[in-house]
Amino acid sequence: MTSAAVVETRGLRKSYRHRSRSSLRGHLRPALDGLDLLVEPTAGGGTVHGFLGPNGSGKTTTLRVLLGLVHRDAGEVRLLGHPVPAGLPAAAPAVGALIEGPQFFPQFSGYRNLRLLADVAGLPGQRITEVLEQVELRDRAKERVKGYSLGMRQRLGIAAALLKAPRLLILDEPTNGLDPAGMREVRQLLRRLGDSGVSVLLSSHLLAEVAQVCDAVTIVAHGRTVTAGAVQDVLARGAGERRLIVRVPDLTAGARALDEAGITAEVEAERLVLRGDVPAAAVNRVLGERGLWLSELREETALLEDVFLALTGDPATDDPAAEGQT
Amino acid sequence: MIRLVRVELQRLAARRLVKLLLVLLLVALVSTAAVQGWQSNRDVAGARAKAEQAAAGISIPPDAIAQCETEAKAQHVPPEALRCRPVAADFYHDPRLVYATNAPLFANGGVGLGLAFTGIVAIGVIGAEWAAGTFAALLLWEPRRRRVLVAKLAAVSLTGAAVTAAMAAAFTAVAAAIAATRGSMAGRIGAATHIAVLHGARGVLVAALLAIVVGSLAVVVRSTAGALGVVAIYAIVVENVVRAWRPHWTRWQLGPNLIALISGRLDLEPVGSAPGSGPQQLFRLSGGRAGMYLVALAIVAAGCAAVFLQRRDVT
Repeated sequence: MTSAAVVETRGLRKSYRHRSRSSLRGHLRPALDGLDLLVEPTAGGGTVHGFLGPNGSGKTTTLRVLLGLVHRDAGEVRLLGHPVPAGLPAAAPAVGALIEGPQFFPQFSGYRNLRLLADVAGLPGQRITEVLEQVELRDRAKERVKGYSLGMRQRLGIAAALLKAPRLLILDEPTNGLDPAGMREVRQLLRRLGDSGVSVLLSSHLLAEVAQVCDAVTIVAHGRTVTAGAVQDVLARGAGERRLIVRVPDLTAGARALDEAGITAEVEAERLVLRGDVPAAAVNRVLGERGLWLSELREETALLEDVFLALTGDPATDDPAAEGQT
Repeated sequence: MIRLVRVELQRLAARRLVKLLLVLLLVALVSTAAVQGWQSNRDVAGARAKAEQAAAGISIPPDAIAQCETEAKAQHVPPEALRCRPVAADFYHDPRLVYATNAPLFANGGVGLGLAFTGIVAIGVIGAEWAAGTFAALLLWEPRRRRVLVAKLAAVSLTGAAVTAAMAAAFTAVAAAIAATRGSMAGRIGAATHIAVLHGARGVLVAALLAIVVGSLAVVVRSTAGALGVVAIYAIVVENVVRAWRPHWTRWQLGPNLIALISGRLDLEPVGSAPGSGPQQLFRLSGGRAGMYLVALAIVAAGCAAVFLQRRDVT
């Protein structure tokens, strides 16, 4: 195990028993099948690490195992260097978490809910005010949580996770229910935390969110890690063949001209697609010489979404029955 | 640990269920005071007159009286014990609430309500925490599950005991107030107060143990409805079936032991036994034995809850 890692799992396995009419004891269905996860801080001391996977891929189960809520069947888990679950009491004071939506007493005010949590750890009231300001809920803190919107509850959940001033923040879909402005605020907050020395493990299915805010990413599918590393490395790895996209008024003439110049071009969706290591300048010259003026010439870069879909397969093939337990 | 218990007490005190039940207990106390106060009066002469009137209003045929007297004579019944004619004493009911006889009954009433409160709160609050997900949220702050369990059971136990003590004291005070103003404080006041306090104290112990038992059940079942269902099935079905099917097992049942601990002892006759069939068929549960049994039961229940909580996933 790596000593610098804030989160480390190796060969993590977990199965849930699913009861059915045909079998009283039910049958075991694996949620985690040897999952590896490594979250290491950057040189600045913090990081934002994306944890991506389709529904039912084992993300939430992994987070629950990390936090000691779910017992693993096999594998090794370390949180801030402490083995889980034995070392959790030592790690917990430095770990903030928001798992599967915030859980609060609806009859209590936001402040009072945080007060109850702060009292468990013996935190001062000043800290509650600070985190409420961080998530911009200070003005509504005295109102009952049952009157909060989904976005406000989500922000209160993030405030609760921040209450301990954690070294490690584990967040499961923290932008769920937030409006675009709220999502951007949370992303900025996570980035600030990452830059200020906090390590954030961000489970999300919002690929754009992960691409924008994360330093590194781990992609999982069917309970296994399919790829991991710095976001740019993962994108480069999943980019596959380089493609040039060319748009000219006459696609057929353009394709013929390029073919005559020894460059293979395919007509795809009102554009020419050139695969392989084709110099853009040569394409521009060939087409220009034949009076075919380009309206678009660009190199297509891989999106995290492309990499994700390529690595995890069609999300529709995931078992929705397993979704609730992963 | 003390901090965790204090937080649990704060959580519990702020629950709507707890507040609602406390209001209901207050209503019960006030209505009991009103009804008992209204029924109690010091018109003893009037009550005696009514009793004499009632006795005189009953006519018994002379031959029946003669036959009764003949039989009594044959059985050597002393003349002062002869009761062949109705007398006023048979119809007399003291209209006064007498503290010496009623104080323990009032204390028991308060204890009963306190126990009902304890049972509902222990199941309702812990079950609701599972349903709301706040139990799991707390484990993110305190991952030592046994500590969380102990804190939760301690909170419901302390609250149940405190409310039961308050109810027993309040009901005894109501009895004293009514007796002093509209009833009678004659008789062995000190002894009656002593018994009321004793019943109240035992009630407090029972409340604490009951909270642990049903709270542990709620931790295992993880649902208010499920835990209430288990309690209802046990109380309504299991206890009665066992009493009829295996009468000797009655001594191990929860209900009789709770009553025995509060009242000091409980005599149980198996269902279907002939009246007066002899002391060999009579169970006598002593308060001490019931107390030890319930303490053991509470320890086992809490132990089971600890094992279940430790081993099962929190999803």
